[in-house]
Amino acid sequence: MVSDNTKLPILQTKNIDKSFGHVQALKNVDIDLYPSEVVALIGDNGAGKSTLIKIISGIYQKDSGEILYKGNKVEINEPKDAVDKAGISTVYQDLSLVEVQDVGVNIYLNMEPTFMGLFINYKKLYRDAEKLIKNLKIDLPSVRVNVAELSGGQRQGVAIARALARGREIFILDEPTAALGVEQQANINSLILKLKEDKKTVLLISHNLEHVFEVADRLIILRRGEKVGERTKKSTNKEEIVGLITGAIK
Amino acid sequence: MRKLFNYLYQKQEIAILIPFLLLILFFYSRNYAMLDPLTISSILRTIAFPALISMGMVQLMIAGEIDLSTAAVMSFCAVLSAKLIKDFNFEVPEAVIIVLLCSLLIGCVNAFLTVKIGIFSVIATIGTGFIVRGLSYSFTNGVPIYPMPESFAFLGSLRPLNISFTFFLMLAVAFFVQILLTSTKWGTAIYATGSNRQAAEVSGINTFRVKLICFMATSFLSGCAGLLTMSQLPGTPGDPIIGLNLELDILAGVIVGGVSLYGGRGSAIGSLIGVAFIQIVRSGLVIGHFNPYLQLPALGLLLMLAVAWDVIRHKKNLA
Ligand SMILES: Nc1ncnc2c1ncn2[C@@H]1O[C@H](COP(=O)(O)OP(=O)(O)O)[C@@H](O)[C@H]1O
Ligand SMILES: [Mg+2]
Repeated sequence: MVSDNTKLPILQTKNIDKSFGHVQALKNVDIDLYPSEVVALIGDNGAGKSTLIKIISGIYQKDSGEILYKGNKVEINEPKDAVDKAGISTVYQDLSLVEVQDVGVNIYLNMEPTFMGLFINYKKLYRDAEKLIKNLKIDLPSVRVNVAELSGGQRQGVAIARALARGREIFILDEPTAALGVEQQANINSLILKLKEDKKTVLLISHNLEHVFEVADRLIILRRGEKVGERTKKSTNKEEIVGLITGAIK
Repeated sequence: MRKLFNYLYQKQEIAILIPFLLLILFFYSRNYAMLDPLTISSILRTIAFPALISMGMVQLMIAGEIDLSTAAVMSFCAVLSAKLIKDFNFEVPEAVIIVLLCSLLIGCVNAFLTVKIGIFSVIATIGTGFIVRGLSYSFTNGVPIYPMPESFAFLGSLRPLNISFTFFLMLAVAFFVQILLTSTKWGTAIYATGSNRQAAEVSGINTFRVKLICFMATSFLSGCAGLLTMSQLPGTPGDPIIGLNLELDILAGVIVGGVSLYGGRGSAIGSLIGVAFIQIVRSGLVIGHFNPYLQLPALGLLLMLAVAWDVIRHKKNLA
């Protein structure tokens, strides 16, 4: 339809329904994500964006529908399934980092390089972490500072580096720039573009259309739990998107 | 100067050395016997038990849980071993193995109540503590069971450098735990579990398993401490009052030593110093000719101060 369909989607949702009591948060939602693309999921407050990504990430259970990874159906019942079965990394700004530990340890938590499987090889750990951080152009004083001392943007960067170190292919970012200053937003943008360059898929939730138009290749618009539109960035403009979000355009 | 202050603020285990030394000097000024070799070796012998248990407790608290059943488990294990040997004719090694398995089981129960059922570990372990301490009283009707076969007193009779086997065992365990915490994946997993459980889980760390092992280690070391206490007492009695109130010494000790009630913070060295600090206060009050009944109030006060400091530090870090 609107995207490069010669490639196989890496992740698809089909007919996802989800209700909370009487509130139907998602109705029949289909989305396709491809490698090397940045997709923005947009919509008003309460449109169902967070619910959708929480289902994909294994935090909520869908009522019905399917999730396919590289064309095969996967059951995602808990966050671990999303990681193990579908290579999905959901980057929550505050949830995924250990404040009391430093950047290097956070990036390689539970996959630390060791001597004989016993003692952590800190030298290698910090060297690898430094390489990764440098490669992603994340602005940090050192990989040995505690996460507690980092700014919101730096944490976001570390969380992404962490996911990347784990060989994840799909990155879900829920409002990654919400709490950030202008400069930090720009850093996150270049980070997102870097991920795309590395053939990763990014699903980005954002309220900020400026931001979305800077980085996204494609936009999926949700309204009251339904997908009301899907546009490539090239084929649309802000007015149309605002119309879709508000329901002025049907 | 500022830098030094910051450093001490970050490294409570080092900072605590300052009041620790001042305190020793203060008690020394009250009574020179404070630094007598006999006093010192006696203090080291006493420290050995709470310090040994604190090496489990420090891991548990870094993982974000707490165990107040430690002292009760000590007495339970002592009494149970005596009972098994005296009334059921078990051999000493058999009794020791059974008792230590029981201690591991108690750790499992604590972990289950806390993590699976979701009872705050403070409450859950006070509960198991009451149960096992109560059982030790009921096994004995409150009267110590003794004497034990001589072989039971073997480890207790070893006194390298006029101190005790337990003390050197404790030092070895402390060294081991310090290495575990600072240099192994187990260490990073414990800190992550206590600091941000969700982050740990997302990284594939089984936080239930982490907490389970920490609970089990704490109970196991408590069981060992119970048996070792017994082996050092004359007549090796299975006495239900073994370790009475010791859980507070352990708790106060690790918190004074920089372990946080909020989890994710602390070190083995710090805990060791903290436990020693508590014991210096206890012994110092006696040696310095204070009213010995002041020990508990002093301990309570120290515990409150240390916790207050922990809370303030935590709030400050959040801000
Ligand atoms: N855990 C929940 N319990 C009850 N209702 C919820 C829950 N999560 C979301 N909802 C409801 O589902 C709808 C979609 O919410 P959400 O996915 O958070 O929207 P968005 O992220 O697009 O702002 C809203 O009506 C919201 O109130
Ligand atoms: Mg939302």
